[in-house]
Amino acid sequence: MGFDEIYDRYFARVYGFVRCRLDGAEAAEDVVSRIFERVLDKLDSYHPDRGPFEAWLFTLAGNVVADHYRARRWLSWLPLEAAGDRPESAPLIEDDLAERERRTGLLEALRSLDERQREVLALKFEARMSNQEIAAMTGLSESHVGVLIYRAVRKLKDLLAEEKTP
Amino acid sequence: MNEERDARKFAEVLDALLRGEEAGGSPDPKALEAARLLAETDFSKETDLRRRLRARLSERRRPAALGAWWLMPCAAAALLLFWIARPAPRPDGIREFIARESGRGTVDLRPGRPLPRPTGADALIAARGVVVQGPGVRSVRWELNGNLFVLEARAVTLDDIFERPKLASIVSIE
Repeated sequence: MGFDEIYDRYFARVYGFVRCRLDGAEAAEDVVSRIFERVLDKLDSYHPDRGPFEAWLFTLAGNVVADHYRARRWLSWLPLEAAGDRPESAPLIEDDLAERERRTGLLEALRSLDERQREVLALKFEARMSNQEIAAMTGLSESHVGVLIYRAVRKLKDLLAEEKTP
Repeated sequence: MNEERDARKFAEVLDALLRGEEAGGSPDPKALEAARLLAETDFSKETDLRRRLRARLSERRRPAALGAWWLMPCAAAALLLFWIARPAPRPDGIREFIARESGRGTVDLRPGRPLPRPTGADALIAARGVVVQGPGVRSVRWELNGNLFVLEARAVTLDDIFERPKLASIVSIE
């Protein structure tokens, strides 16, 4: 599979994976850019006999997100201006209004989840991993992963219901 | 304990949902609706990064692709250097040179023999050698491009090279 095909097939999922875990579209754009740059650099090092491509891709993506978290912890000591806090990017014109509202509501709800819950949701819904694969990646037990996902989705449901309530 | 059981059941239903299959029997149907919403939402539509990043990565990849093209001039330069640095051919002897320039296979260069006329427009030669035999001297006179060159072989004494001062000359100086 060539890079163009990978890009077309996985861009939306990689973006979703990052966006589930990060607040702010600008930060997500930076991280997604770094992920695909790294994929471009390291694609030759991927060997199918070591595991499925998606596991390789989302492990790499998870590492870039973790790098971002580490950098952000350092930057949190600096004033906001120095940390380069930037406004949200403008939405696409062709974006449907109802869809945009739905997405905004989901992002707001995701913000309220803790880092671990956001991580497992990103791995489940965007990386499309099984609970067993998530357990192997995170070092948690499979049943613990199942419970984490269940709790996270139920909390998401409650938060979305709160948003709808005037 | 109930939560763990529900979580296991929910995981089965959720996996079916993510595979695009009919998902029923969730312990929490509204949670499944939230999961469906999350699964169907394309967050990448909030940005035009897909287009911008593709353009940027294409730019990054272009030099690598062009690298193959750069090999061609490099190879041409290497060949040129190789051609320049090749060992020089052994220079022709006068016999071969005249033979080549005159367009004949062999040339008789013995003195007194007529030399072939050159066929090339800028041929260097037109040599005629004549041996002159005299007392104590043996010389060969060569005519090249209308100029005369003389090669002599004879016994030389010191008087031929150095001037000896004479007494008469000294007296005249005083």
